[in-house]
Amino acid sequence: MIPETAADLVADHRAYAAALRAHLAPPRQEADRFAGWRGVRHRTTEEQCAADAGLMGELHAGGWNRVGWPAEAGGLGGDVRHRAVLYDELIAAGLAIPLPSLVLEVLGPTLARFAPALAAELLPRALAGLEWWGQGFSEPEAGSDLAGLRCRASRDGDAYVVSGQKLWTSLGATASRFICLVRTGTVESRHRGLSMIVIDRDSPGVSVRPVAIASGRNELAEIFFDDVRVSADRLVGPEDGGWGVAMYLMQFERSMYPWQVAAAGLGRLRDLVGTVRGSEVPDGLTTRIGEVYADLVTLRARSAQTIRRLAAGEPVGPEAAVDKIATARAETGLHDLARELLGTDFVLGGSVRHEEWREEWWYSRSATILGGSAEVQRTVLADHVLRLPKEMAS
Amino acid sequence: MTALDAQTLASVRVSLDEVLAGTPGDLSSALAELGWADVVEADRETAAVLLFGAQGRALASTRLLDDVVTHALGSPEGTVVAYAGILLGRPEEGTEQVVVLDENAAAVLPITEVSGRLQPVRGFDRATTWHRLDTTASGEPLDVSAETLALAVAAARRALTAEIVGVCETALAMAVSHTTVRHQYGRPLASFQAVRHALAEAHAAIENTRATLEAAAVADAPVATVARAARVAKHRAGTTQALVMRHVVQVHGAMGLTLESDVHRAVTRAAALDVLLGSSRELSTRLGLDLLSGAPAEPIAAI
Ligand SMILES: Cc1cc2nc3c(=O)[nH]c(=O)nc-3n(C[C@H](O)[C@H](O)[C@H](O)COP(=O)(O)OP(=O)(O)OC[C@H]3O[C@@H](n4cnc5c(N)ncnc54)[C@H](O)[C@@H]3O)c2cc1C
Repeated sequence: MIPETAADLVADHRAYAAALRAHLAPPRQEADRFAGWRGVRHRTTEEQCAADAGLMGELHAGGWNRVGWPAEAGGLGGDVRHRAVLYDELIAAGLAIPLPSLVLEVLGPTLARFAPALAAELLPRALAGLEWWGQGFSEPEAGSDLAGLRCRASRDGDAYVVSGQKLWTSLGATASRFICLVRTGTVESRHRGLSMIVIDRDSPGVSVRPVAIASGRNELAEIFFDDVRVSADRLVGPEDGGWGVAMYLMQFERSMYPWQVAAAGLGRLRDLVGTVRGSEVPDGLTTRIGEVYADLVTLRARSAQTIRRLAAGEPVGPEAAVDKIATARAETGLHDLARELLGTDFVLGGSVRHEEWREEWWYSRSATILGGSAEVQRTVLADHVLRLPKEMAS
Repeated sequence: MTALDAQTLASVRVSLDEVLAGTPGDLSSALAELGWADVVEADRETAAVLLFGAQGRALASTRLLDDVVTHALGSPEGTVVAYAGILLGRPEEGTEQVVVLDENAAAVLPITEVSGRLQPVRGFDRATTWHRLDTTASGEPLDVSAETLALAVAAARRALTAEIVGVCETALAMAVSHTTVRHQYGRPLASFQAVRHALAEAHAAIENTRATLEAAAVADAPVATVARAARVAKHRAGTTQALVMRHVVQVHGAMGLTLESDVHRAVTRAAALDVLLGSSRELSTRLGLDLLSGAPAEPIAAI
């Protein structure tokens, strides 16, 4: 529990930021309770996840990461701005944004909104770092065209029987639960026949195969469901109402993730500039440093607006595609800059730092793919914001 | 964040669009009639964003920017500004002095020393009213602190950012209407994905610039931050106008290159505003140099 002034901190996210900053700063006298996480990076995603969950546990014990979540779901009240502040201050203190938080920010608000009972049961455990979840939307045959997904859930008494496959599940290798979009209607029903449901990893019939990205890290996984029985009370939102739930979820996928990318990216830019400061910077790259900095500031400015709108309860909807486009520019730009500035070392360098930049470079390529590709975002804006004449199949 | 409510803002925006689309000669009386002084009084920064946004949308050229600078510098009535030697028009009757403004210095010249040294600009923007002051005109250093000067430059850059956003809005609106009306291959141009995506990108760039500008209004921050934030905003505006104009010209086909469409007006107006007080390229180089010499990569936008 946060000390003395918890109520004030919940009422005012800036006061919370100041208190959090003091709490996270390396102490002068006593031992650093965050020493095990400060500047520490693990070689595999599995180890990183476990360590990050430990960081969440430490924050949770002090009540710090419960601020910003509703009391009914294990939080202490406050809103999405508090959560944004947390990620910012973690980076400022030389800590990392815990990997489980990236997915929690997408799934948590959706659970709280559409399945309060499940949120009350599961969210406190996730906040405490006792478990983390995977988002099971994409399938081998359903990527950009999500409404074409096939993984089936058929009603059988008080349960659903789930059969099919998910692919590209972030943190899937180690997640304890999967929040999946499944087909409860006919295939022809497209987006009208989908439902969202929580499936425990340890249910009979679930199997998981980790998928490594080109960096060698198991960032993703493939999940198979072979007649898995899932209690009907694990539904998130109404049966066949999954598309609406998914659209609500997309607002968070396209708003808090950009904020997290901006916070982490500014931290990484600081590291990068620190590395090359004092040495001769190749022609043109000084300007690129300035451009990448400006792109990160723009991303942050835009996502601050969006998070304020979410905090005020305004729907963000398709306009979040603007945030996603800014994210892609900043994230790919930053990592291409690192690649250019490090030069030969980026390709051949043997140090942990070089390895880290190479791994992150690969991950940065997902900025134009995950959560709806760059092309899909542009189509969303053309259709729903500019309201241009519809594209026709040719 | 502003003291003015959403409804007031919306109605002010409409009135400003009407005023700026009219004859620029009557500008001050038209603004006075609108009760503009009260809006400025309520929230100077928001007022500037509204006013320069409207000026941009109207593709109008006025001397309003001089008011931003002279107010920030505390200059007396009858002062006009030369931005690195560029005046936004020939000084009117009654002008007493010219402040020559640069990023790092400001000087003042009596009007008597200026008149013979002004040349009308003949440039990219064919309708421009701008004038150039010859470089031998140096003048006396202006007696203001470095902070005051930095804040004046920053305020002018934010106003220019707002204006460029306005110009881009108008250009995008032209492109949307042109591609919706014109058909090729039996369907509207705007039903082709390449065209739709170009316009979507333009929209995203404009909205991201607006956000950057909003974040740059950090009145209570240290001067160095205010200055950096304004550099970022003006840089962003510059890259945005380049992207928007490239797409807008392209989707107009041959028509976009002619004097018969208004596209060229937006293109040349935006280009002119980009060079004023630092082009996007100059500003990003400056931002990069600052970071390399130890300036913090500060986030600027707070939540
Ligand atoms: C690092 C990472 C993490 C991910 N995490 C998750 C997760 O946790 N959960 C989850 O469910 N999914 C996840 N995904 C999957 C992601 O959502 C999909 O990759 C994405 O939706 C794109 O689908 P796809 O890969 O099948 O590409 P495809 O849909 O096959 O697209 C391939 C290319 O074709 C283009 N394209 C497709 N359709 C069109 C069109 N109509 N017009 C123009 N171009 C088009 C795309 O833009 C893309 O460039 C993750 C992906 C990555 C890379």
